[in-house]
Amino acid sequence: MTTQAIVAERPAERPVESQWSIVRRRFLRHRMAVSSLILLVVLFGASLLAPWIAPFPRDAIDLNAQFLAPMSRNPISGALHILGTDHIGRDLFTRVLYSARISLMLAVLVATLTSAIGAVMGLLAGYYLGWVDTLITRSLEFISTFPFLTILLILTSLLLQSPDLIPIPGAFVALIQYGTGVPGDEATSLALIVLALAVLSWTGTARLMRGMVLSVREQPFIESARALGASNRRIIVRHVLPNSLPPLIVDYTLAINGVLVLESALSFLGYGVQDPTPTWGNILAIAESNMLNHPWMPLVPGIPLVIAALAVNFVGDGVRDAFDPRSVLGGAGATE
Amino acid sequence: MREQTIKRSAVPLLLALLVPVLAACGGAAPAEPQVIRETVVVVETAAPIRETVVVVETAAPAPTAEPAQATDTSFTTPHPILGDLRVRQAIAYCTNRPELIKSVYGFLSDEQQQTLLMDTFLPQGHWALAPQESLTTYPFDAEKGNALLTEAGWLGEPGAVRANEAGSPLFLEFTTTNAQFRQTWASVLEQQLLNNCGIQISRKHAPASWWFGDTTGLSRRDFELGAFAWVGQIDPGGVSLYACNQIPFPSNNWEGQNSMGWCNEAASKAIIAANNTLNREERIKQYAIVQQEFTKDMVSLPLFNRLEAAAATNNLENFRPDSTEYVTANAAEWKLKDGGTSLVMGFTQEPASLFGLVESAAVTAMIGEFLGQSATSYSYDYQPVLLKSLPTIDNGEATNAEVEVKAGDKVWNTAGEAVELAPGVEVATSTGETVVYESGTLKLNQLTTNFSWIDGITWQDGEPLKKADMELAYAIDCNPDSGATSLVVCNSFQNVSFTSDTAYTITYLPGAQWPEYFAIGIGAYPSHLVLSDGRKLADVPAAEWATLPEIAEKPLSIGPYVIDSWEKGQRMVLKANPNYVKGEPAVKEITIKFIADSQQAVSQLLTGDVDILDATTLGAGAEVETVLKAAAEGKVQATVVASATWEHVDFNLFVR
Amino acid sequence: MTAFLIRRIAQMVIVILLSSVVSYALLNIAPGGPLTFLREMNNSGRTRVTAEDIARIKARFELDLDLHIRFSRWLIGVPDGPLVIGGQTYFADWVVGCKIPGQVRLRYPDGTTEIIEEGCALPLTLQDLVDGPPRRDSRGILFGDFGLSQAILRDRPITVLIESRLPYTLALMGASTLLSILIGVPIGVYSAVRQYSRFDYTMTTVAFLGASLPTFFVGIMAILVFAIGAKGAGLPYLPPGDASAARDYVVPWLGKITKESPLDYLLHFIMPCGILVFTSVAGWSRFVRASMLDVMKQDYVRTARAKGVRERIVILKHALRNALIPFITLLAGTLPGLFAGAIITETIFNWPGMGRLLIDALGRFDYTVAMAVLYVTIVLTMIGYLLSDVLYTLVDPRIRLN
Repeated sequence: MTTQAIVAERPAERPVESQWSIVRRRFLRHRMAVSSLILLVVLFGASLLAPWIAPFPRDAIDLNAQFLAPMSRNPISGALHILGTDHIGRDLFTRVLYSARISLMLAVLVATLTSAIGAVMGLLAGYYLGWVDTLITRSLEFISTFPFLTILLILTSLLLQSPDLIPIPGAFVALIQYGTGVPGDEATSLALIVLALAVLSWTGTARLMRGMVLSVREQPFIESARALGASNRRIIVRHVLPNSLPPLIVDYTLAINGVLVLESALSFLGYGVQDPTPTWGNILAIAESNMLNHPWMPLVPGIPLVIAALAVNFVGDGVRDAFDPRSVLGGAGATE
Repeated sequence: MREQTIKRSAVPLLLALLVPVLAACGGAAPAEPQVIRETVVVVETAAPIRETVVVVETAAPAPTAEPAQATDTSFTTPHPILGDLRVRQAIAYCTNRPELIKSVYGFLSDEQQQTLLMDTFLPQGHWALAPQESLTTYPFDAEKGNALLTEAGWLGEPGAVRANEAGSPLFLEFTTTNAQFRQTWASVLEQQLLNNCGIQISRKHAPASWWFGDTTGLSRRDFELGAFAWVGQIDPGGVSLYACNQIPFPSNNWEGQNSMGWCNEAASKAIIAANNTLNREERIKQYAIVQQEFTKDMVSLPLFNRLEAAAATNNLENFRPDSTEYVTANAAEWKLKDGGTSLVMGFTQEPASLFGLVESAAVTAMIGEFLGQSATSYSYDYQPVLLKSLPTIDNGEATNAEVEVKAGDKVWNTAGEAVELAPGVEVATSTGETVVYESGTLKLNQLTTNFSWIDGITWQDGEPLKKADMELAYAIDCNPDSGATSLVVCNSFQNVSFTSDTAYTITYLPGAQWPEYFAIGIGAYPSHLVLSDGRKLADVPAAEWATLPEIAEKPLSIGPYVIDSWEKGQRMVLKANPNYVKGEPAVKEITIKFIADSQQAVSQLLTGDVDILDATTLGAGAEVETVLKAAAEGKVQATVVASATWEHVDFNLFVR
Repeated sequence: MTAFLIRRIAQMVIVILLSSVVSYALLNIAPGGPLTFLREMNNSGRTRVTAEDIARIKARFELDLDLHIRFSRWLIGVPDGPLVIGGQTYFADWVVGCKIPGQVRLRYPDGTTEIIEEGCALPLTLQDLVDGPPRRDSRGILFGDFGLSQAILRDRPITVLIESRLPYTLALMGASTLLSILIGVPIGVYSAVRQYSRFDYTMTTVAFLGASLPTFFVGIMAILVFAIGAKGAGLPYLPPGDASAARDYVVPWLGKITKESPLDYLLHFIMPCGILVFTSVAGWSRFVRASMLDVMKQDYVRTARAKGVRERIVILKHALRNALIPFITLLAGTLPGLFAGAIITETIFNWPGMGRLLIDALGRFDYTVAMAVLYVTIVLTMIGYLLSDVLYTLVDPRIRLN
């Protein structure tokens, strides 16, 4: 939560190279960030190909192959289970592969919604101040006190009882369905979780954004823009927004990281995405309850989960540095 | 009671608890009421029902009615798929139950797995189980299943989902809880039905609070295939589950538990008859009829008994886990091989109160057994502990005499209520028939039981047990203000007389025939106890009892152990009672730790921080396997017991 | 400033009130509740619960009162009976709830009937609150009376529960927050000063790792390795859970540990605290690092450097002092956490804290306990927000109050 102003360069002073290309150039020099980004893309790409490269169907149960250790062979068919099998003999490599797409998509969607709602709210509050600000900040404080688990429980029950009561736009369910590649009925409950998480967790971003705007609006160039008669909308779009973007992007990556971890915690408490839809979180939760007998199990979903979360963090770090005008250019992601 | 959280709470409680309370009329009241028919009129004592009759002008329903559901004939239209017996039987044939058992108990040997299999609603070895050859059994037979489906008009290629002529697929919703254990076997079932017979089910794993909710899920018959567990009892009961008048409808405000909607005249009659007699032969005969019809109609597919395990340190002797009794029941006999004097137990839940009248959770019952119990309930039977004997008709301590009743006499009707005999009242006569009274006299059975405590019982402070203690227990336990949940058993008493400091007689209303009459007794409270505020316990109004620390947190004991301290959220320490009538126990101190997470509990067992984990703590999950493994390696002792809890799938025969 | 504070506090009170209303309502509409347990008893077939029994039990849990009356009694303890002024009673007939819900039989043209609950057969008046069986009254949570627990410690004061849990949560959260700051801040400063050094990279990676690990995953791994594994290998081990031992035990190298001795408490404290620190140190160190990097490039730091002030002084006196300003506002945000605890860590390590209490209360439908915990958390959250706003305006003169 960087509430401190990151003063941007004045656009007019850089005629030669656009800001975006500078950022891109800087980001590309951050070695960890670049390799993390590549890793994420490969991971996601592989999971897109899961129906073709996975050795088994996603939910195929095999009672002759419960709790097989990694790299062991199926006692009947002799097929190789690269990462072993779970409590009902489902191939873990297959499930982890499928879940990469679901987990990452879920995280990206929640983070995107969170950032979008939060940014707009924060922007409005920070720019207009006055009663708009009061209303927005008080309501975000209000929302941040909601009992999270109770709400999830109520929503889950509603979904079971009368799914039509919950207004989830069909387009959104379709988006989830295409994004994650799960069947339609699973997509509805995923959509519900995404919406619940997004609605309940935008408050942090909004506070950050508001703080940013408050800092930026006091900068001399805003004063001069205003003095030149620029409209509110123009000031927001042309000046405030671009200057608030860097921390927002960092916040966005942190949110992705947060959702990945949160989703697994919710699964652990029994409120997360339900089996058979595989996510890293619920595979981990299942592994957790069998861990005294099969200590290797949690590592199978745990390692990709942690690596992905780490990678997201590094990307965020790279973005932050790339946007920071005062970072030493030669040093950015240099050797070491 | 379906979930393990409050599992078995009442079973062994029957006579088991003396001190916080005895179950005479308590929250965990024992015997099965014969008839649980609720009348449509909710409250007899209150204002009459306002009846809104819809004027038949248009087809439209009343404005007060819910528009969408108003015109339909709720739960009278047979389910388009499950209404067909052939489909239900096909589902049974297509289910490979041994494989389901294997999916959750793969670590057991094949023979052990076999013992868990169930063909009807009673477990293997139960006294009322009908002989196998008289039942319709459904061994796994995909061919038979497929043939039945084809016959029923569900056609399809092998491997694909079947469909009827109209083209609608053979698709059913399957609802159950989201416990991992159920997810496991349910996902296997899903595959079996699809691969063996082309039946597609969609699994809906709901939170238990929804599935078992007061106004949601099962109680509103909101399912097609529904899976859950019943906790088997020593007495098979079953009226509320299988009788025709126990089908929950919107029109009877959802009274009853026959959520399948199963109405089979023969079975319904038999189950009521079985619960209207104390003659065991007769009961076995009637239960056999119910089971034959039950399996023939295939309205509910019994799957298997659950498995329970209890584990203890190798150091402990006389550790006795049992299907129908808690491990703490014989704590007085525990010994440590190395001569040690202290033990640590792990409990998954902390008791909410030690006042057994208001709290029926297993943990309260388990701690209650340390504080004194009049009887235990090992191996589907009862054994006296602090009583001289259990009063049965056989040993002469109980009588079931025929009495003549006339209009105006108070009797127990078949609905399980104390009423004055008047025309229209339905009662069971001494010959077991159900008749509606019109006039004249009727012959009913009247039960009388004589209880005697053994001599020399004293409270932990040395004060001997006396008449006033029992009178106080009767007064409090049957007082609605005290917080007792159900007073049905109390209401069936005609008279309770306390004949000496150790004996009392219960006389029931004519017509009240509790199958477990010998286990329904009165407990005792220390009438001499002076509270911290100076009042005597006997003078405290019943409504205040649950709030008293002397009752809820540190009740006096007449059993082998006394409560020494209770650190909320962490542990309770019990000390051996030197005044225990059967002698001070060998283990001087028992600490009960509260460990909510079963992984954590097992970890503590393995590191030696905890000595005993019982079945309620180990649950039905992976922890059982862990302790069995540790036992095989010689680290601990572990015992496997077939649980009285059994899993089944109900078919909802009708659609809303 | 005073006007700002007054306005701000007034708004805070409104938000607290609204939040309590919403939380209270949410808990009450969530599926489950005290009557679920009744249904289970009924279903067991052993006990029949009559409509009168249900009415009585509803009264015990106050469920016979209208939701807003229940809320008001919970919040401020009124109404607790008719208004009595000078011996004269007022509003005695005011209906505040329903003893027995009314039922309406709906008869449809096709002959079927349905009974629905509608209206009230036997209303409950204010006078009934006094006349009926004694109620478990509370003076209202606003006046510090939390009332009685409904399920977790039935009919005993909630304060007993909170007193038994709060010290443990304060100890765990306090120590882990303090440690995270003590470790995180120097790391952040050093990482900023030596940006892109090997140290910075290592620390960045470690910090990110902490933030990326699900707590329950690390927690159970730690139990597996440091408790079960170490004990099995005959090495010194840490107790897998609890806040203290139930009896004396022997740990290799350390010898016999007396139960409830300081060393015993310490050994039990290490794992839960360590894991909380590991997963939260990242937040602090990254924040300080970013803040420091910002400040170090400000003109006044450059000026100080240019003036030849020693680097150490520049960093500690000029840069760090300014970098910590936004950091202080962050501290206020930790306030509710100190009270509410950490649900997952407490669950995994069986730590007798507030987080577990809340989860337990929600799971067992103990509304009064859950609301007590939620209410205090709400109040502390709001105070935290207020503090951070006030501090922010105090330390950053660029922010205008209006």
